[in-house]
Amino acid sequence: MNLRVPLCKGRVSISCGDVGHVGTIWNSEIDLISSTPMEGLERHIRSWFASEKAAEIEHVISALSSGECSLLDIVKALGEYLTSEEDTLRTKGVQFLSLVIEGYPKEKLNRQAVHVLATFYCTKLEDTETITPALRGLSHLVKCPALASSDVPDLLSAMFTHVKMRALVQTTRFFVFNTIDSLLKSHSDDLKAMGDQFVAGYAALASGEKDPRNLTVAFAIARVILTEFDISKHVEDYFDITFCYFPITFRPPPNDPYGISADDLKSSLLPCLSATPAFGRLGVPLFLEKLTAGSPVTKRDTLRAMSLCLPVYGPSVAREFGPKLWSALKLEIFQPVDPATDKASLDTLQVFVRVLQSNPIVTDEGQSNDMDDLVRTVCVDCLEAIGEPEKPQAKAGMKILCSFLTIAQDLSSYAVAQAADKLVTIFHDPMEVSNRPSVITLLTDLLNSLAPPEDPPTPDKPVVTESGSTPLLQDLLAPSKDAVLGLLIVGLKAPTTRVPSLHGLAALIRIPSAVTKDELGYIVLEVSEFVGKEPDEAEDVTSDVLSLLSSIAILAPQHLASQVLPPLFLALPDRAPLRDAHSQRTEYWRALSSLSQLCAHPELFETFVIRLTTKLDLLRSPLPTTLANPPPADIPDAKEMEPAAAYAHAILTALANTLSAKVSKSRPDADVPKYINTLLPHLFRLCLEAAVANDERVFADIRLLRVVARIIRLVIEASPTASQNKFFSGLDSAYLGGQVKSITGGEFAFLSEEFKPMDAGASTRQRNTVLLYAAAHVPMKRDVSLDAIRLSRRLADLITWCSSDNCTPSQREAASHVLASLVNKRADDIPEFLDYLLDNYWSNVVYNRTISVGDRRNAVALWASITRALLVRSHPSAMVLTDKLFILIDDGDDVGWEAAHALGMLATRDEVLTKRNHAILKILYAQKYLDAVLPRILEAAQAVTGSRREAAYLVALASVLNAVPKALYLSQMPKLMPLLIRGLGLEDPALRVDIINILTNTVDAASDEKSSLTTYASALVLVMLKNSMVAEMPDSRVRIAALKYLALLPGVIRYDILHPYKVQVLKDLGKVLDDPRRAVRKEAVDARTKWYRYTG
Amino acid sequence: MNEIFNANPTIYTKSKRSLRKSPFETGQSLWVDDIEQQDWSDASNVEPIDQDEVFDLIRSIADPEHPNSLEELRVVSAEQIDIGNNLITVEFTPTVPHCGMSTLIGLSIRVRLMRCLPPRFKVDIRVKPGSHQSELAVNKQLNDKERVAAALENPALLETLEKCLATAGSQE
Amino acid sequence: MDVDPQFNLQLVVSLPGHEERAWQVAWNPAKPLLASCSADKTVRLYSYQRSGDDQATSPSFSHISTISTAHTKTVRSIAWAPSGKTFATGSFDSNVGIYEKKEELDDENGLDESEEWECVTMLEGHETECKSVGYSATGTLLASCSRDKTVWIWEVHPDADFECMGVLMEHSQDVKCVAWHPTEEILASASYDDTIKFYIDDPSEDWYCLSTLTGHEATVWSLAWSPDGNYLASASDDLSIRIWKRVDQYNWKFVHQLRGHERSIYSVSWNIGKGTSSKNMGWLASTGGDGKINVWEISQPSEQATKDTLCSKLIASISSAHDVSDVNSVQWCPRSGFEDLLATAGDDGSVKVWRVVPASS
Repeated sequence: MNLRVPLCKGRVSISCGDVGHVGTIWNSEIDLISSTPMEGLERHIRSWFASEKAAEIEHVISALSSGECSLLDIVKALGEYLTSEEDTLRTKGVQFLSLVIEGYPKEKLNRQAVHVLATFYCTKLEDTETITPALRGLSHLVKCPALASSDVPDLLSAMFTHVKMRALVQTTRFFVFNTIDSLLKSHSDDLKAMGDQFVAGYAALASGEKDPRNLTVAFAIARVILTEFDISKHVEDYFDITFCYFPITFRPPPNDPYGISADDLKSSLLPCLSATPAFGRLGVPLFLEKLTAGSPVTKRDTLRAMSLCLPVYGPSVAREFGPKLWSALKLEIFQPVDPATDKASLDTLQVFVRVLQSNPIVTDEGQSNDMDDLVRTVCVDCLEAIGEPEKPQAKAGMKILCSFLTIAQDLSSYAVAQAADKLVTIFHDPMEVSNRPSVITLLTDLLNSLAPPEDPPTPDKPVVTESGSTPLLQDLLAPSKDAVLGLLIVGLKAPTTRVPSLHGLAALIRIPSAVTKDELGYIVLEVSEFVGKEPDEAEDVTSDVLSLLSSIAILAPQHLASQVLPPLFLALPDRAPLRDAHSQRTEYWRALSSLSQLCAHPELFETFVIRLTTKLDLLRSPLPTTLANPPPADIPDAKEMEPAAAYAHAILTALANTLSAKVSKSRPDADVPKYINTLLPHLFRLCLEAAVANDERVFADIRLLRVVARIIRLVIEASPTASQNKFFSGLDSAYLGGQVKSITGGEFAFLSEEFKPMDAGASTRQRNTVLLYAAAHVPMKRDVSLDAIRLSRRLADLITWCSSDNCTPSQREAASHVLASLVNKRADDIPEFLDYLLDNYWSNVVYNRTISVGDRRNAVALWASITRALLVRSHPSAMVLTDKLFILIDDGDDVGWEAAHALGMLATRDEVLTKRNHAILKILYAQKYLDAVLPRILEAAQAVTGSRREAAYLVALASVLNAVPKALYLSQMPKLMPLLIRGLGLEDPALRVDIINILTNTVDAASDEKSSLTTYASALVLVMLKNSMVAEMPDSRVRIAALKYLALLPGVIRYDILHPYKVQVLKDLGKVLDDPRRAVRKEAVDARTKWYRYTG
Repeated sequence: MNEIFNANPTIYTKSKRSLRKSPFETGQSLWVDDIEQQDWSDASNVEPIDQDEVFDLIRSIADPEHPNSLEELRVVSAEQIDIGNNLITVEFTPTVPHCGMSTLIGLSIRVRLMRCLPPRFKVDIRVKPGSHQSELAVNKQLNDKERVAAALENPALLETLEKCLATAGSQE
Repeated sequence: MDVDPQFNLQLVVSLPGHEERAWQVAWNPAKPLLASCSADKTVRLYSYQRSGDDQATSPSFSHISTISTAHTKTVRSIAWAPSGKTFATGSFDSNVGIYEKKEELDDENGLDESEEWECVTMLEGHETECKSVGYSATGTLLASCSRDKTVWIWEVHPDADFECMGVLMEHSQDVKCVAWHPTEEILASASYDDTIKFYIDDPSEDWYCLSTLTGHEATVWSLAWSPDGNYLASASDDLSIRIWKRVDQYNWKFVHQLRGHERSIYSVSWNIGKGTSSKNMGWLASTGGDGKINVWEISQPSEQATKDTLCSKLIASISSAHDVSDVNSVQWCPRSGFEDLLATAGDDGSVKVWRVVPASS
């Protein structure tokens, strides 16, 4: 655009600095502009002066952009103000101009205009009235692309001469920093050209700044100058305007207006401190001072800064202050104030040593390895500390050395060798025997730092190699390894050093290829003597021994097989100890649990299974099979079944534990599936024979069946579809077709036909075996082939089976598992079954008031588990079945209460329908369900009639809410609170527990819903106290829940709200401390302690 | 309290499992994991307060001068607790005979038990005979209710106490 | 221990109210008032009266005021001046407070209408907890003692002005209790150092310790002079009560021992009681950490021969007087006609009043 200027010299010339210069412009082109825009302009200006409305500015800007008027018009129009005698008018005049510039597109200003304005503004810097708006103008003007390099020096020198920062307010100073910042971005070469004038000028300008908003810019600027400019003559100045802020202690004011945190400042200051090596000699002493004097926070800031700066400052500086640095850091690490500072110091030390080692100075040529002298001193000091292993400093010293291992080959090999030798020597020093435990602990620290951090080794990334092609770290140990191993073995002998040594060995074998297979064997030999030992001594080493051995088992199973396992197997008697032989029982259990922990490895597990199943066969019947030789006296007679059953139970439990360890690994062991063909048939045979036999049988005991069931679950879970197909066909022909051969592996001591667990008249024993049947179905894969046609029939039969009078709770539970699992996985194959449910079963049983309430309760439970199986896969029928439950509640039916609980049960997770068990689970089913039922329940529950129906709805509400994630109802807490509190008055322990759980879950998240919590806080305190008294509430689950809740309140409610209750709470809880139940007392203690500490 | 009375105490490992033995371990049951369906209404089986329970209350109190619990330092142990009829006697063993912290430790035990035991229990606290050079003085002090009461109204002391007690009850 | 069944301790009233442990009770010697002090830093006042003048009936008690003292810590001890117009409090905050009733301006409805008590002076001097305070028989002297091992004796001047007459640092440990002779200006003190000491004012010199009694094997918690002033009873942590006889002017001698408590004995009180026998020396009540209250009848042996001995008979006893709590203080009502009343204060924060009644009734 052109700068069009009217013929009215006087004013404008005054307003701009250089008359002659401006004059030339006029002469360049003369044309008069129509006076109308000019008038408009003046009108806008006048009304702005009156109102300061932004609108006015915008008008002018748009006029300017559209070319209706020119900048000079504005200057002209402003003329009188710009020169007015009245301060405020002058200020406003410049202000107006600056606002226009601010709003006006920068690229539209040409060189000339920028120049004129710049010069103009510079003159305005001298006038205290106009300096602020002038600086504002400048800060925007310098953003113009058209700003000429030639203008920069004048502009800046004007600033440096006239701007007295201390006299200006924050916002104004902000313009200054902004201006410089923009110039650094756009004209850094011009600034460089200015040389010292700029570097010095800025330093002067910036010094003494205090406002965080300005400082963030200032730090950015300093960073650039320090890195790109030659500050050699002004190091101290820049040191002053940066380091004087260190450490940042700024704390933002409450409801921080400009959102600058101390961390923002720290992170923008740090780059300045580490910007140039030139700071080294000045900076380090300051750091040292802060480090020794400061608070923990200061210490940490300083350490962080040093870690950043030292590499920049370089080795020579590091070395110059080396001794001071080391002794300061040493202090922090040897007598740490807190873990965080300790860690930070260690990091800094590591950096420090890296720096030194990056350019080591080795005076003593005698040294084999080139380690920097200072670094050597550091190591020597640490080794000295290790020389007194019982002192805390020893641990610190070792920690330091370990932190060096990654720095440099020479350093690390030196550190490891020296440390190891030192410890070995001390260990063998007769005067130091008392310190052996500490020695071993230190050694263990060293070994751990040599071992890979993460989980113990696995076969596929083998750690033991006969000869070592291996990464760096473990080689470090090679020279001292034998001595170390020897030391640890010796350590095993004495009780005081046993546990430490075990930990040491555990660390040692984690170091890749540190020990050979033979050495492993040696370790096993030495350790095995502690296996299964009476843990009577003060120290119980069993668990440490076992964990060491089981990690060796992974590396070298054969050693365990040959040395450790045999004695353990021998410890298992063939016959169960007598009822009163308690010690023998503890012995066999100790052996069993050791075995089960050690035998996870496939090789070992196979032996384990064989040995244990053999024992089970022996226990099958307590009497010797041949009557030819009568039973020895010590054998319990047939009536004394229990000890044998208990022994078998223990054996099965050991098996189950190992199996579950194997399958719940991140990568489950591959050998588990094969046991579907060996172990399972064997167990089925034992159990089914016992069920059919008419004499007493150990395996008829339902407690055994439960463990067997657990084993079946685990094996099936791991088995592929193919083998499951075979298995389930066998299973079905056994349970439904009376053909047991296949499931028992071809052997069965009785006539197959005698096994008819599903028959109406089946004995309890036979019916109990349905536990096994269910256990198999729970983890069954979806694609296992089942006879789809007969499926509906089967399920219906199962339901009938459950409704038989002699059906026990555990049988019913088992059946419901089968139902749930099959209905969920095969919903599409069973339309007939669903019809059957809704017609016959509903009308004949569930809703049939002529049959006993007990039977109907069971029916409702069964109904619920089937409904749930459909619900979790969002099957359309689910809601239909759910509605029926509402019918039961609405009728105020005897089973309404049951139905209400069932509504909650529908939303609860269980162990049967899980991904792991291949159930079909639709995401968000719980939410969908809640959206469907909650409004209904709420509405009904809010009717405060006190009727049975309403009470039942409270039950439903509680059990549903308790089952779903709190996020789903948190927002409704204000509405729910009164209902829940009302529910706490109802005589239903399960309900109260549900409610208290809900309150507990929402108590912390309640912070945003605090209002409702606070409103009811006092009511809650009282009702919870009531519920925690055994006299008031016989059910200890409720008491426990109530106490847990009471313990939470002090953490979430302001003291002033609850302090009136403190005395009473403490008094009442004092009574609860005498509760008959230990678990309750424990909670009472906790709650009471919390309330003691509860103060304003 | 700046003087460290025992710079490097022996640290013992905590009894790993909770002390409470299962019915199998105690020989009450033949079955390794007896999942007896316990009824929640407590008319039946009352579990009286016993040694182990009292020990559980004090084992994890922090030592005033070490980052360890009284159990780890073997200052207290279940065996050193005696429960009579509404009378509990707790004996503790200072780490060193000249330990100036003994009264503080004893006090922390007393306060913990004051807060956590039913008021019906009278509590006597003593240092293990022969384990402290001024045994009698310490005992006399710890069992003078007036002195204890006054101590608890001394803010500085109370703060130190609360520090020791902060860890109490935290298992592992 | 043979309990003569001739008397029972009958609970007259239980007065709960203190939020924390109640340390001591004090009967006003002149008016029907009972005061108690507590760790809750308050003093509670109760008035009592008999319906009619029938000695047989027990008086009825009513709470008339709760005074929040100026103390910043537990109020451990409280004592009335003989006039009954003033009482002193000793606190763990190491100060001694003096309280008087606010002056009533309008004499229409006499003085006793208002129960507004105010702290008129705070005596500072002790370095640590003050544990006991007591007025001399004439009310001209006030004594206080503290964990700082000292006993202070103050002279009472008009307008609640006090002058320290002496600071006696004779004990080697805390001084637990001070007790003035019922008639003479002799002060006795009991201590954590297991001893008892006596002090008098040497007209020429200052107060000094004239005698020390040793014999107790543990802290001596409490002292009580016999009504005639010839005997002093001391209660101790060694579970015994010893009675010392004044054999000549400044000489005391151990003459009798009472045992009947299983835990520390915190308090004894001795008054004329309602004994009948001619040799009767009054009734002594004791209580302590075992929550038991014992009442003994003390009497002189019939034969002159054994003149340096005493006879004691446990005539009434009650256990769990404050449920499971320790009982910290027992005191006989000093006013005539009420000699069979005693009050106790317990850790449960309650004050109880008991009456010794013939077993028959």
